[in-house]
Amino acid sequence: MSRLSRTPGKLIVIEGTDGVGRSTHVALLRTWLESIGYAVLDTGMTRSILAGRGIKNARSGHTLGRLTMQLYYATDFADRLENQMLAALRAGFIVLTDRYIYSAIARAVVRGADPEWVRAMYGIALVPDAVFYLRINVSRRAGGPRTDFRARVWIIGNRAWTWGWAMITTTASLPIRNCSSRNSIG
Amino acid sequence: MISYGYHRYPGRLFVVEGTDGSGKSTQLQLLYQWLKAEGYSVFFSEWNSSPLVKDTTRRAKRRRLFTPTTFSLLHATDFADRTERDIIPPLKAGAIVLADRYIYTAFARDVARGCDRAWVREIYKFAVKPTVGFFFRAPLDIAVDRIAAARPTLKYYEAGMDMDWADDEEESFKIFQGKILEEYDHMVSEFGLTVVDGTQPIRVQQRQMRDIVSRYLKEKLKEKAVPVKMKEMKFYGTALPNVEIEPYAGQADRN
Repeated sequence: MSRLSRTPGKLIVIEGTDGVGRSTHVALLRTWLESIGYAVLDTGMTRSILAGRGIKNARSGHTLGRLTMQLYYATDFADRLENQMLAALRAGFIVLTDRYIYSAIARAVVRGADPEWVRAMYGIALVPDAVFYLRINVSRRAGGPRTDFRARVWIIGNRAWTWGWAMITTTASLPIRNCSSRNSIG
Repeated sequence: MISYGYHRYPGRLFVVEGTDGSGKSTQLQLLYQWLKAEGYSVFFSEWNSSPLVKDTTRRAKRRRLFTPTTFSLLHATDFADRTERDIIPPLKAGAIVLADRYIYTAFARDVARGCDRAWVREIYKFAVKPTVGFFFRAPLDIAVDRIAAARPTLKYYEAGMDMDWADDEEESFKIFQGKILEEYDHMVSEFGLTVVDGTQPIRVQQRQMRDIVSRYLKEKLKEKAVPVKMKEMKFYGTALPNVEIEPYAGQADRN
């Protein structure tokens, strides 16, 4: 990954497993940041102009192979990186991204992809200014058919503190958690 | 993930590579006819033909949405889908797969567009190593003339207009093809490609090709590909029904 060479903007990542409250926090942060005068762009997986629709169609209509899916997601990421995030960062925006390469890598590895291959693929990414990892105990989250998959992603995610991320345990009440991310940004 | 070079499938994979207008598709179609006539089960996979990705690619080309990175990754997505659907299943069943363009096309084009050499190679690590990779080498001016004669206008990405090398499409196309040819030349020794001189008469080239291919064919391959067995498996790849040898007809969209 390359460091941003002094773009005026800031790249802030919100990570965490399904149902942990990522989009709620992104929305709250966005409102707060805008209220104090920062321009904000928010983005997230499968929201690219290039590949978002293609991924949704592929997932609903056909059987999407394992490798094909990883590459499709990487294409979506690259398009958002180069056409949305970079442009916004250069223009001085705060970019809030709901999931980043960490989720993509964790999910791909759990699904059996070669870790080195996935990491190399996402080597194009920029190092974020801050990463918030929203954590919750697996048992506390709303269950579902993919609980086992989520649990494994969660285990990978829990190693993330070694990478210097801010960890926020989302069993605390919402206002407390959001305050805690605000303090880290400020 | 099984990576490039470590596959041990009973089938055979023959691929053709070369710049636009090098004559590779003509040669592959002739090879296809011959293998069919000899009694082999043959499947065909073309560059840029995955049903999952086709619409996205078409729309992106029309609306000019690509950057070199996303161009590279979307083509890799297309290739992954074809590998999982059209290439690996017939190879596992012991059939012959013919591919018009393969990973080397991506290596040549994406690097010509400025993508990192090692990065592009890493992305395609999952590809099956071909039994033989033919590289049809034609000098730049001959290839450019052939394309100019076959197509009234060059397309935006085909001509490399996204790179701002030249204002004129034909000029840009020449620069782009020159860079591509240079990359191919590097790959001959890197990947052990078999070079065929694309300026020779079509029949001479075909004879060379059949000569090389026949070394890798065994009677066993015919037995393995029992028609009933093939029908049980779901193949999305289209074995060409009636091949008419019109080298450039309808090809523009796939390049």
